[in-house]
Amino acid sequence: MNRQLQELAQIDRLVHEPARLMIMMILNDVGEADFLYLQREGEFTQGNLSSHLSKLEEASYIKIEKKFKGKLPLTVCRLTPKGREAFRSYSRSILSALKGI
Amino acid sequence: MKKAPTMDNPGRRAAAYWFEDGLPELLAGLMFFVCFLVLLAASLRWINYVLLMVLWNVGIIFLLTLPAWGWKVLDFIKTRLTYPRSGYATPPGDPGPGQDFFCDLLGKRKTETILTFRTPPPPKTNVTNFGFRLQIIFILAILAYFTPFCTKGWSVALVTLAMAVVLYLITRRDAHAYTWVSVLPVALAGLLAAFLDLPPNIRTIIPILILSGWLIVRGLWLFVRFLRTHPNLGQLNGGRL
Repeated sequence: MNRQLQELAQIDRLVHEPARLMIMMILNDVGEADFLYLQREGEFTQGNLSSHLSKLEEASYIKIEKKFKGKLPLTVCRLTPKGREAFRSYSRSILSALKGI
Repeated sequence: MKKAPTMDNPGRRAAAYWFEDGLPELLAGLMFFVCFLVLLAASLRWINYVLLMVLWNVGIIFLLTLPAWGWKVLDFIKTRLTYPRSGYATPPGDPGPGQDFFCDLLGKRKTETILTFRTPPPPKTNVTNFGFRLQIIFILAILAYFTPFCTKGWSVALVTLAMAVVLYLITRRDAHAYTWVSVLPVALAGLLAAFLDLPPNIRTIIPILILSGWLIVRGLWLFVRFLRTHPNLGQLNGGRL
């Protein structure tokens, strides 16, 4: 079997899920964003977003921090180095597999 | 023909998001209005030469350092008005094209093709050089103030036309771009002001007044639209999400 296709079979399924992929793509491009921004951008429901963020946090792909800006509490999410690497590795696998199409 | 940049990628959307509430334009407009008042006071000799020079130098330092601290002031206001309504994302970098140039020259920018929502242009164009472009327009207006021919009536129309063209050209590929229709009022206001019978020393500062008025009106319009379309979710949900 083609090596690129073999790679495709080993992609990170945690990243591959569309909603989580969307969250990781947003965080990769934006840097850090709060819960409300992610909810708005991805058109997630609160429960759906919470569940996906929890899974990403469990895998240490994102870091969720509760911080304050003035008196406003913010739940800020950002990619960890491990998450960024997982995302890049996923991107490389997908892009190289789809290159020939 | 080059395709116009889209808002499809999160980076550009986040950069545009910074301007969605109109606060950057509103504050820049107010700042220019203060500049207009200082120049008006100088033109009408309400303040003496020494005070004028002090204000002038403070103004120059203020303007040159604007990109460094301007976003912090905005962030402070947005924390109270914008983030509770539509969320927080990292403010867009505002390094100005010069910094981009030096990063490229020194090879400091590492690029890698990764899966992204992005369509060209490349990531570095995600930044929106709002402070930088306002500096250019302001310098144009100030140059007009010192140019002798700008005491003529038609010069106001010419300077505002130049400001409108520069505004359009330098922002057309930004995440927060001005269309030619949106900058048209600047040129039209200048044309209208050319027919007014104003003293020559006042005529030279009219472009700054037009620029500040345009920014304030535009900022207010965006701000009201933002407040209407984004209710305070924090309050609706009893404090926070």
